[in-house]
Amino acid sequence: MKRLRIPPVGRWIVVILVVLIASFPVYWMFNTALTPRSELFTGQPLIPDLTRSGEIFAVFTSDVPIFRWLGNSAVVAIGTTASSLMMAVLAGYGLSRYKFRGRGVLGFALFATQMLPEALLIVPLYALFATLGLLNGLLGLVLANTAFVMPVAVWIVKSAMDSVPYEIEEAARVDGCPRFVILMRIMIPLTAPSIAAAAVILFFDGWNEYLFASTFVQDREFWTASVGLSSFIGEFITPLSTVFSAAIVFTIPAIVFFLLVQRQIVSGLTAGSVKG
Amino acid sequence: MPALTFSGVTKSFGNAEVIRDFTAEVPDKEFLVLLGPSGCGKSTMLRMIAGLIDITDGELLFDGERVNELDPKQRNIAFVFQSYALYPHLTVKANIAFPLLMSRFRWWQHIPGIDFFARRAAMRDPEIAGRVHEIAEMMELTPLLGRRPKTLSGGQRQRVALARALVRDPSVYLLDEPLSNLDAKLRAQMRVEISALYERVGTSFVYVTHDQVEAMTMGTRIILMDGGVIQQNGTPKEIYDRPANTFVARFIGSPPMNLIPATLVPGGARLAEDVVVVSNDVPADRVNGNEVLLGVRAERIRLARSGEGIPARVAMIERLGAETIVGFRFGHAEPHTIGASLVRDLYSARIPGDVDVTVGEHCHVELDVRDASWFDVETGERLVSTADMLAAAP
Repeated sequence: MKRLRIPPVGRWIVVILVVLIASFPVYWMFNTALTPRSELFTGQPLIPDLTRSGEIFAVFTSDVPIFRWLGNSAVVAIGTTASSLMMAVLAGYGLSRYKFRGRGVLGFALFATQMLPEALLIVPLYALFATLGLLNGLLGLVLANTAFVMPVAVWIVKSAMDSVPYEIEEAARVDGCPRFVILMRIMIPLTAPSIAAAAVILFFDGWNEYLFASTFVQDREFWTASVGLSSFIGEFITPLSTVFSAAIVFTIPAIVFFLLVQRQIVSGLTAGSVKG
Repeated sequence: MPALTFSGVTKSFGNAEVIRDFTAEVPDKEFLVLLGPSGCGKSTMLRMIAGLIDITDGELLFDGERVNELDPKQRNIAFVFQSYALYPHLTVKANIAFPLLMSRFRWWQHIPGIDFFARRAAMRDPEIAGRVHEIAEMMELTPLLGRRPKTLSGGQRQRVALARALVRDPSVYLLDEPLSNLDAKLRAQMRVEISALYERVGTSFVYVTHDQVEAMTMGTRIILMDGGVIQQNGTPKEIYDRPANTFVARFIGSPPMNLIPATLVPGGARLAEDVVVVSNDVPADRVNGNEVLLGVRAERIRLARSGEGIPARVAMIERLGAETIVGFRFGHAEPHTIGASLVRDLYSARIPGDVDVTVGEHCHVELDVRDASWFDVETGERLVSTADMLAAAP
């Protein structure tokens, strides 16, 4: 089959278009945050007024407990990431390396959990959490999020471990490595890029989660930032500039986390281990 | 340093039996080569010796001690993998030191966090550092100690894999086709190096290969396998000179042994073109008139442009420089020119490289049948000749 060839100029145009489409919401958020309320409906400027950049952080000086909410979001996101990764690494290794009856079914069952919408399970989960006393707290959110996103991480880690040659593990066994040490010293370093990618997905999921946070937590003190952000939307008035300022503040920790782990997301770590 | 005893070792994967009743005794300090075509079960056998896979049935003994249930660490073996299996995230130095660290570490030194400091302390230990440098020096890896495996060439990686095996003092070295990924020149060099290594360390080696040149040049004992069954167990010379069956005769030697149909007659055997070769070294348990196969190596065949021998026609020539392999057919029929028929009924002779022959040329073949091998036409098994009986006599 003949490959469709796009000339270099066309390729650049396509790339620029995609970048523009992807970054438009960010631009809009930034621009709205910097526009005074009086000008919002009278013709928003095309270029953001950067002299008003300080306005973005005005949300910190308001009576809104944004630090508290960001802290709660961080606890939920880091808790979800840590607990999911810990289990995903063990489960991924088990599914990848151990042969046992029902391995395929178990893998599929994990996958099947992703077919159920969260909203479907929210009522039974609420009843369960009420019984266990997990409502109105961050631990319940961590557990609920972990249950929903961990299977994705298991699959990512399992696929990465599948690609590590068996011989490396066998060499470690011959060298006197116990199984758990093989996992810690050989498998985890070799699958670090995939584990980092899974961590990004898990962190973002925990950070952005809204449905459980808005349902299971009533106390304003335990709100996550996503719930706090939505609380700005009033019945009669929505302070758009404040909402978008808070939204910018809300995205910064997620971006920082991504920048921290992105160095790990490099491929080709196993190069050179086996023939070639 | 153990003598290996295999007693009826069998391995099955589900219903498929890949090794059947493997029984052999291998004395201490032998360089044992497990030789055979692809899929004959030799690598599976090596993995069973290492303890990487279970033995389905039978017993494996190291110095008389059953080791079936022991894990690889307890068997005190070193394994060199076909694919090297280096740890890609560790430097050459850390790769070589790895087995030493693992043998020294206690369980708590593996706890994440503690292991980092334990490793650093161990790498500074003069005993470990000294041993690593000693082995690196011996394998000419000293300048590469700080590099990662992906920056090394195939030969260098192979040397690191060998160094990692050598750094401990194992009771037996297991090598699984370690040279198969190297080019011909490097393979020849590594062959010499491994042989020298064997001489130096004076420990048992078990070496798996499908390459008969490696087997013949390095091994002190060869076990030739096919279809999961031992075909012959002996020294390289025994296997070359007295193959146990036609499979061994055709597998060992390049070109393989010529297997010529013959009919026993008084004082010898009648071959093609009604030519009789005179031999008093015929199968002891066969009578005149029996059909047999006469096995003659290419170097025991002489070609002449005229003379007494069997008339033949040259069908193929392979010039190797110092010598030439001539493929010929008995009779003067036109040679086949295409496909599988090109090598059917083709026999080989090894002649000096400076003799000039051309394809299609008529010639006469003389066979030196002293110490020749005789095989059963049906079973392919070696027939005991009078020379064999004399050789077997105490």
